[in-house]
Amino acid sequence: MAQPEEAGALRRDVTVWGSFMWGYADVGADIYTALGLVAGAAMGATPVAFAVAGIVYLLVGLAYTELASSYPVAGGGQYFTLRGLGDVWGFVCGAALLLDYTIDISLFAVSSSGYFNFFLPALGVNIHAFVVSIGPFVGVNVLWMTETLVIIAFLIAINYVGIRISSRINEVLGVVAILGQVVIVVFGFVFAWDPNLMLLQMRLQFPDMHNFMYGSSLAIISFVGLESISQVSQETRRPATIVPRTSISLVLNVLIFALAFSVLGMGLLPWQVLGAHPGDPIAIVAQRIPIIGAIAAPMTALIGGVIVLISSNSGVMSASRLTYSMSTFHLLPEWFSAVHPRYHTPHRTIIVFSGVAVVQAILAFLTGEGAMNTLANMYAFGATFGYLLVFISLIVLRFKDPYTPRPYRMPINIALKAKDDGGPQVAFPILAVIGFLGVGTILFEVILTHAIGRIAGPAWVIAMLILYYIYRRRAGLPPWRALPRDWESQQRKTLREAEEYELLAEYEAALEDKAARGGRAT
Amino acid sequence: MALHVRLLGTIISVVFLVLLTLVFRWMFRVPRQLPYEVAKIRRTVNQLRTLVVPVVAAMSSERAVELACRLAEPQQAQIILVHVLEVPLSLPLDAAMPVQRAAGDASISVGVTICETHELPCEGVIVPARSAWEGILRVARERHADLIVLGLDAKMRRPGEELSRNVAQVVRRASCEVLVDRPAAGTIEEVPSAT
Repeated sequence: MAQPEEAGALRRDVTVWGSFMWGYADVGADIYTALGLVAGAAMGATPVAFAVAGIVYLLVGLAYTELASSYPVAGGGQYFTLRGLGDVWGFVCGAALLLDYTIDISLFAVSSSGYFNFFLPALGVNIHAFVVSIGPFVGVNVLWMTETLVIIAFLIAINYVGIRISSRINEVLGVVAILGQVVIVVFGFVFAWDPNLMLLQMRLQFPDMHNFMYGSSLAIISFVGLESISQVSQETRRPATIVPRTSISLVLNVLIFALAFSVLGMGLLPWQVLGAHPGDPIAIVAQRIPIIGAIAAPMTALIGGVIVLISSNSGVMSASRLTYSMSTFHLLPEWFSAVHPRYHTPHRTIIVFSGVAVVQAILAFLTGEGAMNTLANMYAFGATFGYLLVFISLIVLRFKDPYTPRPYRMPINIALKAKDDGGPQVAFPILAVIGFLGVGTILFEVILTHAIGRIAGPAWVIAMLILYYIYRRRAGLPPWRALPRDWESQQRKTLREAEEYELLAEYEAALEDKAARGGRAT
Repeated sequence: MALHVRLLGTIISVVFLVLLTLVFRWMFRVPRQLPYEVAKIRRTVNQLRTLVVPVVAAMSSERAVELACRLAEPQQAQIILVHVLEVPLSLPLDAAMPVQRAAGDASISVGVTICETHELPCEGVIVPARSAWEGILRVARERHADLIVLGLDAKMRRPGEELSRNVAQVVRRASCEVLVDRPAAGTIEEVPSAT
């Protein structure tokens, strides 16, 4: 039977706050870019677009909470799909999510250096003086590009030497970012928010259906990143206990912030102003607030720079853990599954897939803003496609693997009759079906309204699938069939290593019951 | 610049801060970790899914139902309340014994009420048998019981013996776990039975 490599193991160094911050690092930055884009599309209905995407996101969050706490291993959506739907779909899901993570690294590294460039004039540096032409490429900003590459190199270095350092940086910078956001929201609502302006815009400037669909599909971007908690669950202490708490807290936090910022923004400024500043919408909101307004721009630039930096860091971690997981399950060459003997990190995947992000960033600078839009479009495609497969896997796993203890279960289930052999009762998840339909609708919106994403996204997945086929053929493994795996032994090992003894005892008891009835391995 | 505090905005800010605080507070309240041995022991108790409790018109029996409910509550186990009609050898097993049956119904009714206060699934069964222990063991076997909870009535004990004859037989012959509750002297004797 195919087993994950035993050569090394990831170290469990991530705490409750660390687990939360890995997710927040990824999701928290999104509102900084999404608010302007969504306002430009959804107009007066911007808060409604965020609310619609937020409901879908809530369901995605609940699904991830159940799966990540039941299967606390690196891989996230890719691992859940592998367990539920087999190797090919596991790989497809992994490829879609990998697209998101590499974009995460490049996009947010570019964005972070962009925010820090706000301070260059004060240092007497004119950023526009560094725009040059390189062969056929015109308008390339070499200083900005160099800053971006330095940031990615820095993130590669800190992730290479251990998740503890990387996690600590996230934890500290995350506190700064959250406090900054809280200050903006509280001061904004108390001293400046005008509910009449918001209501007027909602009443008189509601978008047509196409624009609203585009806006809500962009709003989902502001919620992408919950995956990171799952990716890091193999390095989280007591993941089955902690992950449900950090996931649900993250879902609620991000929802609260996204709704607060969109409502605040619409009560301070016309949507046209927000839409005209897709790069720094929160800074524009903050500038309108009395007292802190004078220092709002530099403060928001600093917070924005910090938060997108940790988002980029989260991308490095997630891309490396995802591909590490894929290689341990023979979806990518085993070479990637090596763990550094000293630092206990998947060093090869960190370097290779952050390298992919470096290429994406260079291309973005060489081709101008069009490339950035392409990346943003593909970002929405990768996330929604991956989430769709995760919902299907959750439903399938309820039937296929009813023995694994689920410390958290999605609410609202229909109890189905147990098999005649006295097997466990299956709880059919109604919310997972609703979530599947919701994510499916947003994926439909993405395909319908994102001209670049509907081509570039599937093209990435197909290209990856071809590489997968070549690897499996060369390795003498069946390309389209799932490899036989001893999931039960692996689940026991995972729970024991995670020190989740109550769940281990529950799982062993369930397996004993199953053995007594003559059940076969799942 | 004059500052104007917006009432509605202030309310939203307070709600925003309270929500954030509550979410973070909940997140950091992580339940304590259990050692493997403790987890395994807890699991053996959590695995009790079907509990059989013999009931008669005695406080000791009603207390046994309450104890069983407390054991069953965390895992929402099912309680089977058994009243055995002890049929004398002079009568056929299916003989109608209306007075004893009515007494059994009354005992079961009290047991059901106790179970209902704990919101547990329960079922009352009246079984005819030549002796109480036979009836109890038969029901336990048929229902795949995990545990039999017995209340020991001091009046039923024979002089010089710790257990009554029925309790002793159940303890000796049951294939599942048996829990015998012998209340301390003066605990319940003064309290009249509900039946």
